Amino acid sequence: MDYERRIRVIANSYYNMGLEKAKLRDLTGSADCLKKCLHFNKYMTDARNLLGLIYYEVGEVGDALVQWVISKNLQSEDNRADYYLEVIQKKKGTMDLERRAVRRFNQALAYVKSESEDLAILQLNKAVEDKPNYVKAQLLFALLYIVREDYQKAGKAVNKVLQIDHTHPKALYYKSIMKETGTRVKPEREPEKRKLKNVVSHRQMQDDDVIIPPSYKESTRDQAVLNILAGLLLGAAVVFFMVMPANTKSINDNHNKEMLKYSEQLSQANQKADLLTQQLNSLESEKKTAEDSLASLTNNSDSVLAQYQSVIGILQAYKTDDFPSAVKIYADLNSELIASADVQAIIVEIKKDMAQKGCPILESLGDKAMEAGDSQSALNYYAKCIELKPDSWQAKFKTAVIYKGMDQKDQANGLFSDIINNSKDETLSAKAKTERGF
Amino acid sequence: MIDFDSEIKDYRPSLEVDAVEDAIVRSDLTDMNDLMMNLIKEVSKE
Repeated sequence: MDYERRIRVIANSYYNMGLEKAKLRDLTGSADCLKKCLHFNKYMTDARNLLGLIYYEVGEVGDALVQWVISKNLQSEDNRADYYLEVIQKKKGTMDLERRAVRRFNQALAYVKSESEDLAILQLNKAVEDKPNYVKAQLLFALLYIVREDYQKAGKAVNKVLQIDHTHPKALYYKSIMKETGTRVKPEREPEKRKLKNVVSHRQMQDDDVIIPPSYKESTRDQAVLNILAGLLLGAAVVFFMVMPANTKSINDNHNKEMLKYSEQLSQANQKADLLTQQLNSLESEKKTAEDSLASLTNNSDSVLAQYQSVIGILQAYKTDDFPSAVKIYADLNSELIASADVQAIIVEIKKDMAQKGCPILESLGDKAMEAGDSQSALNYYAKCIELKPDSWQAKFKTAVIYKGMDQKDQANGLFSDIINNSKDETLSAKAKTERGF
Repeated sequence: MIDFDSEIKDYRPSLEVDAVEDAIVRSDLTDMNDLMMNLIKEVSKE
């Protein structure tokens, strides 16, 4: 016998063993034989399909799909795997259910490893509800309940596993452990049988049975109505005395919070308004100062602009040879307000000319003003003349007389004394003495 | 009594349906026939 034939024979033998064991629902043993068969001959399509079927039976859909898809690849024609894959994919929601169950088991396993057994049990409960033939989930479920010493629930899970796989080693091991503790795990009854048994009054109590006390009586219809009314009244009272005050307090609190918020906003707005008012006052003050400054530059006869205009007027008068007008304008000129050095140079020239020829005209203008009764203008002309020519004794005398007339004796006497002491004009000195009262 | 910690080590996560494709790719399909063929090839080379 050549080696190829020998290999085929061994593979066939393993397949036959696997098939026999599968028929006896020794799924674990069958799967082992089938895996060995495929190690010898990977083209044993029946062995691979049966292995997939066993995986599917114990809830391992992922592994089943792997085997069937490989089988389909190795033998594309006349393959039973086609049918299996079609059935799984065709039935609506089947794949989602399988996917969810597997995820729940994996999550539960992670929870167990992180010592969150309660969460694990929740996940496993859902997983075995969706897929009762999920052997690994049932076994883990059983293990967790064994550890909690809840052998009834553990026993149910173990029995379920043994129904699927009669010789599952782990299930048998758990069963033996429970036997050691003296727990008798009853095999799960058929639903119909259980129903029938519940009819019999003498039976063992179940976890979910309710004990009804003997004093309990069925209510009459009127009593039921009264009970409902009493319940409604009680509910209304609870709402009025407990819920309403809490709501009112909550509303008041909210209202107070809002008021506080608004008053803070108002306070901030007031502060802002005060600041703006201060800024406004400051700006108004600055505006007034600027306006005054502008007025001093432009509007008044004493303004800077007026002085420049006067200089222009003087120059204009010179141009037309109107010297008296030049002198008259000069009398009102306040040269200190002129800042320009160029204009000041012109003024110096004008002043020299005025000092030489202007005094008689100024005196004459002063005299005319006196005749017109305008003593203030007269004083101004005389003062300008004295400024140009300090030894203008006639102008000084006339000024002193005006001061005397205005009852400004100190200024008048000062000027009279100056004339008496310094003037070489004896007639004028005599007049001054007379006016002075010597 | 069961030793929970050692027992839990036996449990492996199930193959997720979404991971089937990867599992197929990673499958080692070498069988005894392949091994024998390789051996014969190596012997004949020598």
